Amino acid sequence: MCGSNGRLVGRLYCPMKRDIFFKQCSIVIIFAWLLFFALLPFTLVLVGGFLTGGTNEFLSWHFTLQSYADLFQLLYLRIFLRSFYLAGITAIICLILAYPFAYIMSKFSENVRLFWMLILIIPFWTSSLMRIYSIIIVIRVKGWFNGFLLWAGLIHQPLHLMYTQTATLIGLVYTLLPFMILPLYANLEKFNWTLLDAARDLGAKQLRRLFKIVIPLTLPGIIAGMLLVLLPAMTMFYVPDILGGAKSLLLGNLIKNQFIEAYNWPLGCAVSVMLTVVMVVMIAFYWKMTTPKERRELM
Amino acid sequence: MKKTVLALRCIDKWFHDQQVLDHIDFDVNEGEFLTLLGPSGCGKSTLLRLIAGFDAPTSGQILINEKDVSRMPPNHRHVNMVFQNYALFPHMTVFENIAFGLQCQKLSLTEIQDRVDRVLQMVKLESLKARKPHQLSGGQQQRVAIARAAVNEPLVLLLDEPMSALDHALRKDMQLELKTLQRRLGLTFVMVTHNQEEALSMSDRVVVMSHGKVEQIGPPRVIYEHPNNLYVAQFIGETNVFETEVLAVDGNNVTVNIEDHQFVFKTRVALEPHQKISVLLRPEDLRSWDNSEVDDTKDMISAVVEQVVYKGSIVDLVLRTDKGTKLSATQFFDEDDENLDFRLGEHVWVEWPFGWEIILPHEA
Repeated sequence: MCGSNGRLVGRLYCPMKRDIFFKQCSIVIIFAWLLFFALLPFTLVLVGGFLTGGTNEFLSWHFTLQSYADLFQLLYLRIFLRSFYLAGITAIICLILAYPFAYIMSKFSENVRLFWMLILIIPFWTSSLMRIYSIIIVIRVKGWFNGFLLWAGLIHQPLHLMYTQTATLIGLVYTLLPFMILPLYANLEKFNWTLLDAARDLGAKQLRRLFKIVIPLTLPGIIAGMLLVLLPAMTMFYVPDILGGAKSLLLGNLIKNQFIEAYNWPLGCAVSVMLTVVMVVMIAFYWKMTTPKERRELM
Repeated sequence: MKKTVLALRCIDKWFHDQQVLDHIDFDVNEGEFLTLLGPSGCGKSTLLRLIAGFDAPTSGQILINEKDVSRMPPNHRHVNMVFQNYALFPHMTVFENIAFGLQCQKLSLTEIQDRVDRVLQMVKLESLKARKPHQLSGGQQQRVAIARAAVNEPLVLLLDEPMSALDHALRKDMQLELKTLQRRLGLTFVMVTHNQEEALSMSDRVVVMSHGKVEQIGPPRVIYEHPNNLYVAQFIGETNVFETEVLAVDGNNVTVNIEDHQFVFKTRVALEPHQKISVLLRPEDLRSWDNSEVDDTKDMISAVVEQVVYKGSIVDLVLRTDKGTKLSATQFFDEDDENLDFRLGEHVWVEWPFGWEIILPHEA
């Protein structure tokens, strides 16, 4: 069509052809990206978990289930549980903080919403590592937080927050709060507020309206937010490293240590696979609890 | 004497410095189907929200069974509302939606079951009680919304534009059905609509509103045939208006000049000579004859056909009188007059049965 038999034909048809080329190109690039940077590494990790660690090389080709058996040692189980516990607490604190925030934000006018959205998103433009370090300035013994509490007369001795589990929690909640707010907000923004009028008309008091109407209808947002907080919370190894003094180990720390410090790659792989399995289970739960329409609305 | 269930006493409502309701004062009788009719922004929805209890009047009283409820929350008023888009709870089944109000009253499980089943039967939705709202048609959703309100046995059931969420074809059916349902439930309905056809076909009485005021209250027929003022006449149905003045008054008879013809009308309105008046005629009251069909044209107005709209059982004509006034006239096919074959530009003579005209004092 684009040959020498006329410019008009060329102009009419070539853009379409180029469009198709562009489409195919982008699809190929995306697939290639996923293949090389997601599927391939994951396959390596999956295979690596069944291999033996070597002294000269990180992995040697001897099939074994030893690494998975090792996972059931008390030490590792404890880290698993602690990790779940910390991530769970983080998610719950995030939910408690984020729900009122998202609720109020969804009731504001367009411009005010945009402002708060910016306030929420701007910190993301700096490295999270930097932000975690800057928390130290706030919560250390002579930090702003203690300074404020002492000034207000609420405490007489500065709190020793640094290098405790509380510090880790503060860091995790701080970093992950937006991941809870955004899906909740997306859900509440579309909420049909006349439903609350209807409930009031039928005699429902405030608490009943909240628990029978608002929360059930924002459940997809709540579950999505919980997942978006729970999953990263288990892997953010640098937060306990910096704030918790490595006292509260997360799964992420365990994996990092196996690869970088203990040079036990098979075990690191096995833990990673376990973590992936946990994630898949949670996402499956989310899939089962929500309808396709609800999931689309959160996009 | 019918019992008054809802009484509105001198209700004013201001939003900031804007008055949206101005001295609303009327009663609603038990078992009545009353419609608040008016264009958008006339305050009818605000009035409904005041009755429901979502808002309080700036001044005035709302009495339900002679008890002042003006400042009571919605759930203490024995009033329930059917919302514009029904506001059904999307995560609950039909049964759960209807049971919601009864659960709020903390009734026993068996009583809830009984009452919900009974109302489901009345709205003919027994077979759909396990469905979710999104699995229902528009008409079924409307019935669920009515059932959800009616199951609480409210003293007054409020309906906010209940037909607006339905497509056009369904509306006519639902009008009939809603009226039947109201009789079967034996409840007092107060409905808000901007659709005059809905108001006329369903209501026992219509309240015509504009700019926060009540223009006229009455049965549909009275509103249509004896409008209080030009606004009501023009809002409800189509009207031809002749602006003219009184030439002479003799008791109940007034002499009026219309299109250079002198007419003598009987009227109950007190009029004086030289007073400016409007003479109103509905399109269906006008009859048009062609030249060959008439002998005596003394009381007829001469006009030319400008437009013919054939509608099956009727023909709508747009006529222009010799003096340039535009008239619309609806002609019915009947045995006396099978010749409804009007051509554009054809000359016709227009008359109407005397006494069918409406005479109103001129409004600025």
